[in-house]
Amino acid sequence: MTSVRDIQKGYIELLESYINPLGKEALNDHIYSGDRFGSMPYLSDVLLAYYEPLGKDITDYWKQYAKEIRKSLAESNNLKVCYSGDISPSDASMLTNKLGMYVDTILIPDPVLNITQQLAPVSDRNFYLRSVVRHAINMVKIKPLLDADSEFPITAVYPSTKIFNRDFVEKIRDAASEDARVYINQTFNLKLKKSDDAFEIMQSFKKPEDIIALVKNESNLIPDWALPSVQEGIKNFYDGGKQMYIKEFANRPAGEAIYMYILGRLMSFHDHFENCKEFAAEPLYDSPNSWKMFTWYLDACFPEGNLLTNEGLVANSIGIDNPKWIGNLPVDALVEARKRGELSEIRATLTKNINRIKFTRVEDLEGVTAQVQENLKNEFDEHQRKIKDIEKRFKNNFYLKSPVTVVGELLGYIPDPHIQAASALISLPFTLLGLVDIYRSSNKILEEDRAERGRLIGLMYDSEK
Amino acid sequence: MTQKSEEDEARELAREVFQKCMLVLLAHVQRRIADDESYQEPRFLRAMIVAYYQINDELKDGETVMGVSVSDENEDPQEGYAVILKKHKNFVEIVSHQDIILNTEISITNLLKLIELSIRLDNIDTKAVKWSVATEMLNKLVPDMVFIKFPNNQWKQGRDELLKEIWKGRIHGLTPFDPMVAKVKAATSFSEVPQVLRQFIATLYAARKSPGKNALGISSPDKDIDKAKVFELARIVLYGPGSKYRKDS
Repeated sequence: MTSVRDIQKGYIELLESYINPLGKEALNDHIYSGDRFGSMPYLSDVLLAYYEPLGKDITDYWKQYAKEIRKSLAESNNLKVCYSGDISPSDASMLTNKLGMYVDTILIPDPVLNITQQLAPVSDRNFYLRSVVRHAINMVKIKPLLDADSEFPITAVYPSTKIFNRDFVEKIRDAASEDARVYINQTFNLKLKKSDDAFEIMQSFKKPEDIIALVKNESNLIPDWALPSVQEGIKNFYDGGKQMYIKEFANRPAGEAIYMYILGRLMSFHDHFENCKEFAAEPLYDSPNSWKMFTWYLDACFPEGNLLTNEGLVANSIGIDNPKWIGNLPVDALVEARKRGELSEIRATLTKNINRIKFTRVEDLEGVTAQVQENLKNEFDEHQRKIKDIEKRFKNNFYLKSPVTVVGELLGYIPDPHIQAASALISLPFTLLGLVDIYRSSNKILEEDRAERGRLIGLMYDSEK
Repeated sequence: MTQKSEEDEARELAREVFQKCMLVLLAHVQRRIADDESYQEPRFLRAMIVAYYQINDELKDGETVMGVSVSDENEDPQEGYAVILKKHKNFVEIVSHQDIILNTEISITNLLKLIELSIRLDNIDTKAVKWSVATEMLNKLVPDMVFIKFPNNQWKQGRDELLKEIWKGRIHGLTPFDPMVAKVKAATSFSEVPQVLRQFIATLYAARKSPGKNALGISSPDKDIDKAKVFELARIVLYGPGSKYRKDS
């Protein structure tokens, strides 16, 4: 049986064979590179030709390993989070670095497989190329984490079920259509009785203005539709979408575009939950849009309570809300800290008192985030206190003790020249012994200092500065 | 630091585009060879590689080398290229890239189009492609022209249209009493129609389908076309005789 690590390695090698001709500098910024190479005259055409076999290559690859990797990931008994939302995390490297210090494994559905199979038929050629380059680089950038020598894979990319199972797609489409009907009735001035009617009715609203006029519950709208205002948000969403699709899709009515977005998101949730169930993983989102839809979905469809555990809430808080500096940890340091078994310690620290938060609605993560920040602050304060204490002890040990001994040593040379030789002979070994002791104890303190600073919390503290 | 002029920036961008396109082509060739050892790289690239191999330490800066690659005598269509490279201190300059069969210089933009087309054709496993695929490729490659394949199953309507035009005296050099016209009337299939008249039928069809555009009607009686022929057609249209009359040549 091929190991998860080897499967990931093969996956990255496959992507690299498509990305490498773009040069190392392309890896610096996946979004910029995607936009740049996706629109460069001549090069974008040559790249589109070169990327033609990618869809088949990636599908063949996952056909070979899909069962194995899904089985391995499902069987591993640890804290996993499963990403969903956009095609891939907005910055996969940052997200996985951040979460790597809290959860055992971050699961990401292969974005390249999804793009080549689902986006390719309907998207504008250059938009498709931009997406492929962007998301492939995004994945290649997490190579050090995929490759890391760790008990559990810190990150694992898996193939989505949707691609290989048409019956499953039918099933989740039916379920999502009903959810979409509920969402539309709650959000817009419409009373759809059957989910089958939704597409046709929404299609009858041709312009964004027609949809804007229908909005009755702004709080249900995703940030992209609501900001800076509903008028601008929905219009920008519709106009922006036009550049993404082939002509037939670009010119569709505004109502259809909105409906298809809602349906697509809800289908993703169903797919995602099935994956979470299979992998025994917590759902994870890193974008406010998907989080908004997710929370609506949970409130509407699971009124009895949310599906997330405390760890799941904290992971999402780290994913969406917490500052980026948490992701600045060097991979090696992260791997070492995990090897030292510090993951459970930091998990316990960040999850402290989350129970106190009444989480009857998953409307926002603010409470969780505030608690996580407080936990972090307390831990940072404690860390600082320890460091200061160590520094104090070091000073006491070295600067306060050593001058006395050194003076003693010097004195051995100064007096009477007759005594000088004898005292030197006597005092020198003693002095040296003294220095060795000081050195030893100082070294011990320094080691303590290094250990404290090298703890995950210490590294996080340093990366904040 | 002096600011780069617009021209410098454009030159830098062009250099990057060309360099990356070449890297993509080399990566493509590498992948193809990994799949099939007998794979032959495109001949226009081989000429470049032959020239490149001659660049060594003994060559002085500013000196040039030439690489040539020509197809075998019995190969159809014939292809042949000559590449002249000049050695500089830190880089190699492509002085000239010639198509020696069509006896013309290949511009960098056309070379990039050849790279694109050769990769696209390589991606298809079969030796021949459907005409619909070929015309789609050519239309993408040469956007100021419209390649239209005459639908062979409509040949009778096409024939009647041609005969009408001949009767109206609109087809130069052809009268209703020409022996070739008699052959058209007697034909029982499109392949029995003489090639010259098949071309007229396809041209009339293309002009009707894309009025006012630079349309090229394709009259082949076959459903498929060899990939090598598609490449040849592209070379002729991109930089062969007559290409100077195209808008974006």
